[in-house]
Amino acid sequence: MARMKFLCDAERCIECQACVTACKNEHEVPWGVNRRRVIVMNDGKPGEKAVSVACMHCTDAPCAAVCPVDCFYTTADGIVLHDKDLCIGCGYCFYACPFGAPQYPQQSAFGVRGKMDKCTFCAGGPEEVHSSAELTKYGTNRVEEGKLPLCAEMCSTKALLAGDGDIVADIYRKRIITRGGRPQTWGWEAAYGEGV
Amino acid sequence: MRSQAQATKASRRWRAMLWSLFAIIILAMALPSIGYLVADAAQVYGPEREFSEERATNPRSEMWRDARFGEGGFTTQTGPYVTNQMIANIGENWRQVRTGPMTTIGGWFLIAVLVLISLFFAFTGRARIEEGRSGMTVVRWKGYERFLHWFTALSFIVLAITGLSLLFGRYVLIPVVGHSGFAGYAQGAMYVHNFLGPAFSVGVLFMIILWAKDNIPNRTDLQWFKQGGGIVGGKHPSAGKMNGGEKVWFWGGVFTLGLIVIVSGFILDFPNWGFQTREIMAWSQSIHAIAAIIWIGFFFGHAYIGTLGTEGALEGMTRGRVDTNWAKQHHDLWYEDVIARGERPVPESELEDGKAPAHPAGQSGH
Amino acid sequence: MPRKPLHLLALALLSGALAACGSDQTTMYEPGVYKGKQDAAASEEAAERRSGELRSRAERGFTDR
Repeated sequence: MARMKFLCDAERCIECQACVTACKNEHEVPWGVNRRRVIVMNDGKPGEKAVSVACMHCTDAPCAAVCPVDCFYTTADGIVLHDKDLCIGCGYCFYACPFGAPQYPQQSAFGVRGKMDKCTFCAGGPEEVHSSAELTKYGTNRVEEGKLPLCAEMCSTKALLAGDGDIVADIYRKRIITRGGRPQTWGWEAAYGEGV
Repeated sequence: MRSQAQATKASRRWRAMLWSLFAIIILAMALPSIGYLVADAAQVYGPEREFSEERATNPRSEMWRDARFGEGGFTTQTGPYVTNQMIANIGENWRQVRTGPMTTIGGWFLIAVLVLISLFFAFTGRARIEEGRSGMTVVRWKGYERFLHWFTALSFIVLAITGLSLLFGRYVLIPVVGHSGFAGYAQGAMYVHNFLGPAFSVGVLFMIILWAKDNIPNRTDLQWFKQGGGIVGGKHPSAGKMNGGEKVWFWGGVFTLGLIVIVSGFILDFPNWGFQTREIMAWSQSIHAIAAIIWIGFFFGHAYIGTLGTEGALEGMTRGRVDTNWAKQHHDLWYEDVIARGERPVPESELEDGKAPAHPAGQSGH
Repeated sequence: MPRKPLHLLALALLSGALAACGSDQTTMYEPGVYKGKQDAAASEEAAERRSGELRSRAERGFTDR
């Protein structure tokens, strides 16, 4: 059985934020809710690296484990989705998630948050496929159409990979082999000193 | 004389042994390091070393290690729940605690407390008023104190039920009422819990302020504990207005657990204050739930003693007056005080006739 | 225990209704399989059906030319 995964190739990501924009536009995600975000490590320093982060669709998802109403489920494709009709907006999945993927429309007094929203791997949710209910609650369903998530499909440098874990791993392994021992990636500092 | 010489000899031998052991340890550590004196340290570790693919470290390894340990980066996305952290480690730890000991040990603890109380009741039965009712009553709790008690007590019960539902509902209620049924209830339970919590906190704080003076521990309590509150030995121990057990409930339950639950609860309830990172929230949730479970277990004991366990105790909190024989038995020092202060016990019949009793206000609840 | 027969009847009905929720024949709304629009077997079949398509799409899309 397939297990859908994201993988961001940090050596290729150029921090163009197109994945973020594409996701927002495709699913009409409201202000303040970010299903995907780009994090830059060592920003502004030589050797800075950017990684695009969203829900990683964990095999043993912590969000699903702590949810008091048990609203998470894993699809046959290995995608972790949740049911907004069940969600009570307690915020626990946000505390449990290592990647900060769960988001809420509000953050107000007395713990009022609204329904949780997160990356669906462009696979919709527990509503009729391509129904307006699915579109408004979870966004478009590209996987049903045989397409992969838009963020990965439109990545200009092919840094963000999405698909069955086996295939993604295969593609990435081939890249690493081709990249080989280029000093830009491995041993650069030892060869030329720091800060070059 | 000879034995003294032997003793010095033996002690010298001991000293020599200890010193040589010491020298062996020191040399075992020092000798291998001589290599550093021979080789040029800079050649081994310095920046001038010759480049070699095998010896080189990944310049990014430090960065990725930092990311793994929760180092933050830079992100342009904004929103209340957007974090610049790539990996937060607290989540998985919190999940282990919440789905592990918090639910298993916590759940069995509450069940064990209930079972123990039932067994205690089955074996010892109700603590009766030994000399029977005298028919005369004195004031124990004033109207505002009773209001404070019942407001806090009722909100405690509602908060306990809703809180326990959120922790155990997934394992206990979903199999019974189904996912959508429980989700509807849980939504309501969460809001009731979140909105009632602050009001309950006010009640607890008032209790601490108003009743601290009656709960200052003293020598009488030691004797009270020695006799196990009357369980050990036939005679009932002396007590002032509050006995030793009530003082433990006040300082351990209301004061300590209460303040822990209130502070952690406010942190959880007001994410809009903005200082709560996921670490703080996960810690607060763990502390809040564990302290609350202990408090609920404690509360079972308090509720049992106050209602089923002791004849004549509940009416002190419902109508505010207790039987004089009950007072003499359980709080003799306090009763002497009350009489010394000049309060006149009022007969039951006068109260039931609706005549205004000597002191207090409302007659509600009985 | 309630003493009035009406109360007893209500209690019996309520506990019966609650017990019925646990029965296998009661359709429970569960995430993913609820609302009668989806079921596990069908979604598995659909996943099988599109897995080849998604695989070739990933290979076409992400490998370097």
